[in-house]
Amino acid sequence: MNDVIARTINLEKVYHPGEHNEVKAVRGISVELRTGEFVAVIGPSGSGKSTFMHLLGALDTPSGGDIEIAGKSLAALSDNARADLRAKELGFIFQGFNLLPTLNAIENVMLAGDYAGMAANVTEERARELLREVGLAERMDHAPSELSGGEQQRVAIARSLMNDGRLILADEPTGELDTHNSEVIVQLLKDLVTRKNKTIVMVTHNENLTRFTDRVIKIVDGQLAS
Amino acid sequence: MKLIIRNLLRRKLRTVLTIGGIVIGVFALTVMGAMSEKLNKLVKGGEDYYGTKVLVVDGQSSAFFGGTPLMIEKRTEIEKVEGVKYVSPDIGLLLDQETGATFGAPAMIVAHNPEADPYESFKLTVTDGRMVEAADRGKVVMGADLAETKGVKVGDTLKLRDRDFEVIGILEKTLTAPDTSAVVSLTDAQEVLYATLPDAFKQTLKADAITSSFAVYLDDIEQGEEVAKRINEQITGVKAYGPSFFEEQISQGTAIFNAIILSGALIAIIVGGFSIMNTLTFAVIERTREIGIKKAVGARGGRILREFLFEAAAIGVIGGVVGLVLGWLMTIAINTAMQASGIVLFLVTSRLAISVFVFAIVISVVAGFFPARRASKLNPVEALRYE
Repeated sequence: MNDVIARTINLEKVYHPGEHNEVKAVRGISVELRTGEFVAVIGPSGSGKSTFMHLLGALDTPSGGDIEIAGKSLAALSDNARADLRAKELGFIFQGFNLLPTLNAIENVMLAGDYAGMAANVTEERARELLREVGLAERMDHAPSELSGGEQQRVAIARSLMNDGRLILADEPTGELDTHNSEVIVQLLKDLVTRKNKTIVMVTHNENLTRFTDRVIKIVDGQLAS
Repeated sequence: MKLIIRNLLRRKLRTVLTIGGIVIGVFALTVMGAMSEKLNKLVKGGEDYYGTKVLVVDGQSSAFFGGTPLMIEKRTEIEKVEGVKYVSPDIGLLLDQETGATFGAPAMIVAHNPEADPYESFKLTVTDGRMVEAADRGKVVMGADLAETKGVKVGDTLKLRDRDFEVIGILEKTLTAPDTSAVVSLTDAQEVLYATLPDAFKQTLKADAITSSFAVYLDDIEQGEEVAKRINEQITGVKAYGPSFFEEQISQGTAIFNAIILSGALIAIIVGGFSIMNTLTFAVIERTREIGIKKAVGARGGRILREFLFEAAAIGVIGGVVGLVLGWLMTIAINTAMQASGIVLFLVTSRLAISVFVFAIVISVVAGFFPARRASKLNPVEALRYE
């Protein structure tokens, strides 16, 4: 059995949209994620999938329970320490691609290297290599607005690989792509798991795509449902 | 750096307007500051000159603005006062009889007494030609600005108070009173002074018996006030002013003037600072989602803060450079236009240029700090959701 790269322990997140209003978005989720595992997270809209991903990605702080990434508890980490964790250990892929519009493809990828504290010359070399790997060798100097949705998502994948972190979190990565492009992107993610031994957690609405994954976690009403 | 420039270029008009705000502030600060610098140099020269000696005038006169002449024979009496090292006759007359109020030092005819040179700490240097000597008649050494105004060089002849003088030297620029002085021998100065006297005086006096004032050199500069007091007590018909008099009377006045003109310019640049704050506040709102992306990818809050501060500083640098250059050109233009009248209104010193530039950057960064901090504190999840 492979090592556990991340673990959530009785994870909870409560929002207070109004003074007497309380929304329990995540209620007591405990899961283990292993190295080299491709995990799909599914569930209806509003079930807490995205909140779960934000907590797992150290973008948000839990109201209860804990998260461990590479054996380190997130509960005790400061804002800066969580930023450093994201910079060095985690990769993010979003539904809306989330590339910076003022930077071209390679600069968007290099940004992650910069935040991870890599040297400038190393960053550029590595960004080129990653863009070649995702099939964008000819599009490196294009601005996001000049790239198709599928190409933008490849840039985002290259960016998520930049820091060589072990855990990649993909929140609806195919949400804005057609069926063909969706399958190409998910296949690309699958390759990363097998070739590079990455752990990828992918939130998706499209149950069809779960055939690419090793395991499916279903969340309903903020709880695990199996 | 590339990112900062690109961010500034995203909203070109807005960036230009913001930079414009800083340009206006820096421009005003440069021009007003140059006026104040000129005045400061002038006053500093006065302090250097008067701050080391006691000035003695006739009992009916005021310290710097002349009046009734003094009898030169008082010199021997004053020299006997304890603490006095040397007494030099000092003559200063307005070059043009009709000169009205002017900004800065008016053009003057002044006497040069070579015997006082060893005691004088405020040295005058001749760049071209030579200094006047005691025996010279009808010779003049021109202050740098005055020579330029009158358009004369060594060897030329010009009329001063209806007398012909040959220019034998030009003084090095001092940025203070001597720049607008025509230096003549004591004897010539006495004659010019004599000619201004009413006929009643002329009948009883001779030109070589009068002076406008005495410059009293001291054994110990620290004792200046005591020596002035002693002269006032022991010698009748004169008034003595100690070294602090100039500072009290003139320096304080200019300090107030400086404060008034500089505060006007300061307000201009502070308004510029607010426009930076406004621009960056909007930029933070516009780029909320991008800030979220950067944070998700691993940017610390401090990194986001720095990016916005650099953007503010870049506005300050560009606005500072443009404002300084425009202000500097303006002072040159006005100084050139007023050259004929002999008034030099502005002086752009390196001290002024550097402080205005640094101030422009500091105020930009301070103004940028609040929106930058807001950006750095954004919650990444909320920022990513922002549409």
